[in-house]
Amino acid sequence: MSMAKDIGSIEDDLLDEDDEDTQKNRYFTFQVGEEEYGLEIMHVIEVIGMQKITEVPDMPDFVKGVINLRGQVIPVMDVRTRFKMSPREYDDRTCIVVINIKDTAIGMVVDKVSDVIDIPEDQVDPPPKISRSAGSRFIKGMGKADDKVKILLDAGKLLYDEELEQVTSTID
Amino acid sequence: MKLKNKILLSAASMLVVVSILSTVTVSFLIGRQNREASRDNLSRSFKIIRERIDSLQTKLAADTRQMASMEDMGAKIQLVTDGKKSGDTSLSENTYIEISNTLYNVAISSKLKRVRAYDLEGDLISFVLIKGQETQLGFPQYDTEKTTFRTATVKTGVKPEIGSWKNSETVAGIELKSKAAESIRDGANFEIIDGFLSLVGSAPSMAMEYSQKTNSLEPVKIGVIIADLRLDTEFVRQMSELTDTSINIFTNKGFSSGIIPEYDTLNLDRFPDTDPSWQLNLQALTFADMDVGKGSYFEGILPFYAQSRCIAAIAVLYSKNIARANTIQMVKVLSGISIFCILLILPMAYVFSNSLSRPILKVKEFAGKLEKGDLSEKLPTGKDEIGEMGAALNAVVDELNRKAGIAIAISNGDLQQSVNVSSTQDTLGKALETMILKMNDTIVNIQMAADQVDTGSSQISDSSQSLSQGATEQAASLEEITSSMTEIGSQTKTNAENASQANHLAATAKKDSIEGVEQMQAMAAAMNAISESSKEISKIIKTIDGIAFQTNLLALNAAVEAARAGKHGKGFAVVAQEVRNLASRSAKAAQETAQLIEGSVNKVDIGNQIAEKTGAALSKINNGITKVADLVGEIAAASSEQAQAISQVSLGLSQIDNVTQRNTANAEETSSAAEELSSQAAKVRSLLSLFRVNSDAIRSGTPKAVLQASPGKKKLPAASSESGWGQPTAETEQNDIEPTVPFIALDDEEYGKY
Repeated sequence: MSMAKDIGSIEDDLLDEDDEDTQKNRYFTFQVGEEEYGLEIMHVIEVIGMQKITEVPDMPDFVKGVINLRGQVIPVMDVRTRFKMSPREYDDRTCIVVINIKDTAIGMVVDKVSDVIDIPEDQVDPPPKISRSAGSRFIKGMGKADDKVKILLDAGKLLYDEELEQVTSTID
Repeated sequence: MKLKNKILLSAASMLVVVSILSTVTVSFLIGRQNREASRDNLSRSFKIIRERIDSLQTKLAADTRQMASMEDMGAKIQLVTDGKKSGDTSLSENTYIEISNTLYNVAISSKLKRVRAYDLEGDLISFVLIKGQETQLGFPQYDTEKTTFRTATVKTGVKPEIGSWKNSETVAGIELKSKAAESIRDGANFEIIDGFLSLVGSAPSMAMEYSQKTNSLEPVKIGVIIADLRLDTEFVRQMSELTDTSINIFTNKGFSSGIIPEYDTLNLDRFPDTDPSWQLNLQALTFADMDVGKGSYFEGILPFYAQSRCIAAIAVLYSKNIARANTIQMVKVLSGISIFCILLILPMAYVFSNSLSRPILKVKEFAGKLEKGDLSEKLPTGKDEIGEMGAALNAVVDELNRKAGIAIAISNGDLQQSVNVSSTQDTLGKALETMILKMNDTIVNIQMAADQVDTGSSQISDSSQSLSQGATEQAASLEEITSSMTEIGSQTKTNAENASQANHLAATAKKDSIEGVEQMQAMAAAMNAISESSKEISKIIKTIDGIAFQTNLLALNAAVEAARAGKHGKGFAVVAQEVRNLASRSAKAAQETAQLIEGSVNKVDIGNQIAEKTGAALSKINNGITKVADLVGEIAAASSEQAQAISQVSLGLSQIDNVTQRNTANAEETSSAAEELSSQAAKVRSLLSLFRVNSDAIRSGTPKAVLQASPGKKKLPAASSESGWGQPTAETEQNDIEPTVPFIALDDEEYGKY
């Protein structure tokens, strides 16, 4: 695990300057419920099909457990639970999107994965200020693409710091 | 057996029976009288014996009482009792001797066998034993160590001397102690002593003693005197002589004494126990018959009781020999008288039977001649019963002669005879009368019948001709019917053929329908197979869909990687995009295919349902066809039966045709036969004219006219009867005159010949 992490960090260091522009404004999109969400591509490591989730006791309710991804144990978070939406039975279209938040790999269970698209900065509007509810704090902006609106998420805020710490510390 | 012998034998046997009966009756009566006389005799004997025993008993009681009281016996006993108590008997020895002497004197005079005296404690005081010519008397000498006796043995009747007293250790037949001397009653009772029935008398001895209560001398009991008297052989002999019987005495130990020593056992157990108040005079006697050795006796038994038990019995026997001799004598006398009677009566019976049997023999010979038909004989007549019988038999012969004359006249054809019937029982006379009447009647009737036959035969001729014509017409109609029946038969045959063809077709259809059902089942199986394959296909499509999804994921990952790769990854990103498009297209195609497959599965289900319904419909068709085939088969069977029946009808019709033809021929023959019949009737009439008929005897209403008219029509047949036309009649009177008169048979059986 630590070796894979090292390789990842070396790659990041090598590509940092050259690839910054190429990775900018590119979003990985997925569906939860009826809405489409977007996530900056730089946070996405890979997409995998649904795997067997090993439940871990004494975790926040949105953390379903851990999976074994090629020898690396990563926690899995249910986005529906995280967004306080009604839970849904996993099917063959349910996927786990493995993302990297502050050098921590974490899996996100989503209903369906969609695409990798470019959303220029001028097409991104700030999030609406109407709600101060818990859900809105993850939203970075509203991206417009092909007459549709993608809710762009702030990967960093998907977890509270303390919660994230708790999760990572549990894994470590 | 001859009459004479019967009379003789019956007389003799009657005499024998009477004599035997009288002898048996008389001997039985005498026997019974003897028996009753013997019983009376026995009862008398027992009365004497009882009186004798009674007197002995009374005398013994008196003697005992005398001994107890005479010569101051009480005082003497008191003296020796006191001496015994003081332990010194030597002082009272004289008193003992006195007591013994007193007892001895009385025993001698009263012929007692044994006398004893006891004190109140039951101790012996004195005894006397008389043993025929010798007598022993004595007393005990009580001592603290040993008690001895002092006895004197003397010749019976002689007084003992002082010097004859001696000491002795024991005395046979004497007990020192008597059981409860106080309980011995005053009087005389029966006991068995030394195997003899004995009378034992006892009496208390009293002494005067001072009583403080009354302050005077009062009598008290001081001792007991006991005396025995045996009913021994001498008693038996005396009683036997006195009663002229034989007497035996038995005790419970067996035979005691008696006149007939052969009779030595009598079981006393047969006499049941009685109550203590038994008295000899009230005891009933038992009678029986008895055979001892060669003698035969009537026996009477008198039992004796003591303490309620039977201890002895006296049997008195009276010989039967006298009674038997009397009976034999009587039988002898009666037999003699019977033989004398038989000898006297037999010759008389012989003479009487001869006078009866001779005339009866003559009558027998006369009856023998009558049997052979000889009516010329006469019997002698007389005034007794046999003579009267002869006259009566002569009258019988006369009457028979007269009737024979009438019979001869009838045999000559004269039916005008008159018969005098003797009485209502005269069977022969009445038969002759009836015969004449019936023959008259019959001959007149035959004449009338001959006329009617003549008329009838011409009618038969006419009707048989018309019958012949009718039969011809019938034959023509029959031919027409036959041709119609043939036509019907051919049509029916065609019907049957068609029906069997239809049956065949129905069977084929049935087979086809079964095949159809099978095909439907095969189709259903095939559709099921299609359904199964469709499911398999849908599984495959699911797999393809999964592959497309995975491909999509891979493409996405590739796009992520490409994005990461920056500007170097741009081309790669385009490829990834293309791959993603392909994946989504293949997913879409898979989905469409899945929908199509689902539709086909549904359609296969619908197809299955339709196939089932079709199968059911085919089964129904199958059933219907089976029924049709059955019905058509029945029609075919019925048609062929019909055809058969029609051919039988045709056969029947041809038979009817044959019969009709024969009928025609027969009718013609009948016509000619009727003519022949007419000529035979004329012949009958001529034969009947030979009889002289008594016209008064004719009973029918119109015979006269017929009789007169018949001779005119009379016509003898030209030729005699043909053989086989009929049989001669059974009537004898006609046979007598003309046995060949033909009889024309016209009944069914005979008619068949023509």
